[in-house]
Amino acid sequence: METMIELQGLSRRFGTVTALTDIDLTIQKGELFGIVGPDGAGKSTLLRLIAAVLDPSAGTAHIHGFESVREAEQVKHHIGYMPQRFGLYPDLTVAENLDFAAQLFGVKGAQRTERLHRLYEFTNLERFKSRPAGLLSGGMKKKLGLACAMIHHPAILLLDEPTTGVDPVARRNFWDLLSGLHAEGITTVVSTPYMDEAERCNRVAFLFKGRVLACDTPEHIKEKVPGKVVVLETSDNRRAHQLLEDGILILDIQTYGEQLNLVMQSDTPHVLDAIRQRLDGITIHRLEPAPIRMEEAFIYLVNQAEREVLA
Amino acid sequence: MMLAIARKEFIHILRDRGTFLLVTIGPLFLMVIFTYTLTTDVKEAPLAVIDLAHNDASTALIDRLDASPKIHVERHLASADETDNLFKRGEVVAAVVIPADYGQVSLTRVPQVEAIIDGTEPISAETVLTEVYQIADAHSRELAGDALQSDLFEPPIYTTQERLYNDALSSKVDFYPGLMGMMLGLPAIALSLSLARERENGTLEQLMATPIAKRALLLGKLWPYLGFGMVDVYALLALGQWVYDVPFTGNLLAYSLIAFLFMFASLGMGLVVSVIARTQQVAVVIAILVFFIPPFFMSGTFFPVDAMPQLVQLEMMSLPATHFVTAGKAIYLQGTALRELWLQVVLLTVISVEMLEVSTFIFRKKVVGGFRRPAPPVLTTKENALS
Repeated sequence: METMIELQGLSRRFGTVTALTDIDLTIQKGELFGIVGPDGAGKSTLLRLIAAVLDPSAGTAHIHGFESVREAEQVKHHIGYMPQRFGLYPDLTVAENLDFAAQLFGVKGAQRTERLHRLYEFTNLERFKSRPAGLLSGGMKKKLGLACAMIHHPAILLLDEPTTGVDPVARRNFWDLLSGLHAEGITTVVSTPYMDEAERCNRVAFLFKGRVLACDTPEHIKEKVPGKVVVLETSDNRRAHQLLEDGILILDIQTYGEQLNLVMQSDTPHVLDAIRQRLDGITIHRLEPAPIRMEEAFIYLVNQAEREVLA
Repeated sequence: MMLAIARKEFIHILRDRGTFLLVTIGPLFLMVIFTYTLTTDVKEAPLAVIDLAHNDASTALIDRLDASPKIHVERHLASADETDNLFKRGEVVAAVVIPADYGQVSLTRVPQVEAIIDGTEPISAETVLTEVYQIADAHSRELAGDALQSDLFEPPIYTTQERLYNDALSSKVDFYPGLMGMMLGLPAIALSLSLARERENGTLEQLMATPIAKRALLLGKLWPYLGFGMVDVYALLALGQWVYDVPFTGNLLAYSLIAFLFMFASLGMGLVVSVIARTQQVAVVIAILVFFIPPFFMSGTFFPVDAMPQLVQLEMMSLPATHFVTAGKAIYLQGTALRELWLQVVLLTVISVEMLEVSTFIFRKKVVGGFRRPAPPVLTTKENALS
């Protein structure tokens, strides 16, 4: 296996604010690697450090074997970076934006024609060729961004929240594109606040308050949650929450709209009966075991990290 | 790569109406306004006449004064005492006293008229004064006739001034080439905004992640503005030649070279501003302070450079506009040869190279100082978004 990205003790401060603390990560060739975390966790900062458009305050980053500070310009030949904000020119048409990207990376002649053709096919953007990029829909903009980032066949793709602000259909569509790239063996690092997207990655790094809480495959991360998840829906969730808060039988309670997710050591019928008894006086609509999702895992890890800080 | 940047910058200029107007008709428009408001040519200035002679000669003189396009005889007064009040009310800017013995030519002298001017209106008063003396002088010579030949004649007749290059004493001719230095600052202001705009729009971050060389990026941005700037140069020359009657007397090629170097140097300064300023607002304030105000006051357009404190003079030497005004004026109005302006050519070249180097040196392909949060997501489903 070939290491494409290696981060050692990477930290970044902005004035008195520490955005990233001591990040160690190794990403192998061909991985579809997810950086997952809430807003403000440091996802963009981390991607910017990898893209060599930001220098670390401490630590080192090696991208495709090049050091990100001293050899920043070499790094840029091997990466395709898509910032979180739309980084293309709204007054230029789709075709002009792609042409510009091709010129910047010195892609010309037959190679240019061939790649443009493939990217148009891949993104379905051909019919919008002469539309100004600023007039594209959110999903189309992201696709154009991806196409521009791929014009030079980079070894590594860095995509910062490529599906934020995109409708669900376009999101699915975009992820299908990413899966296609993964099949071709391109190393992709993608940041996202969406947990369902995290499930589609090979490996995921959970970022919270500038630290990596966990880095593993989605399956292994879900295994970190001790016990089982039980879904509870009642006539009075607030009251139910209060009644169960004492921690007996229950490790963690998470609220999801109309339902409560109880993280418990066991979900046997016997234990569920015990819960029913404790909720005396409240109408229970639903009480049943459910599979653990990334979301529960992440919330569990965050709660654990905050308990550690308090302890 | 530089061509790629130049091409897309050119498209930006064409498609952004504000920028397009700023670099095309902007300089012409401003020139028209400035020329209109700054015209100091005096026309039909009100004059008071105190005729103490009341004879044929004095009447002839008054008629001649009134006939001048610059003067209009507004009032006839009995004595000079009243002039003060007229000045205070602004009714006249000057008064002419014709002595009682006017027109009585002796062998040795011709009686001279006396002019009183309102010192609070120096520009028009001086023009009027010159005009009055010239007319009175010509009249005196006619009256004196043969007596002029006599050696005994004194005091000498008021000598007429001879003015080179600007015979008509038109102030437009004087300031037009100088004003061009100011108007041609507009493309530089537009360029100053361009990098800051990319920083604000987030397109700079995308550019930073490409292997583009800093110099190629900055130079690429400069060329289109230089192109539009040169178009402005010729448009302004045409405007001067055919609309304002400011005849171009020099070598057009020599002028083009000077203008090119000046545009390059001031656009280079525009790049420096662009790299330093983080937002467009900051860029535009700095740009106006650098490209607009100093050329107006300092480049010798209206105020002589020699009269300024040394420190200010030194500062002016670093401004491209100063050298452009000096050299441009010389070629434009006097037809000076380029070889006599080698110093300006050298200085403009030095400033050009220096500005390009400085901007390349201080520009960093890094997103420094953290990042701005983007607009909130348009669509987030409750189950999927963590907050």
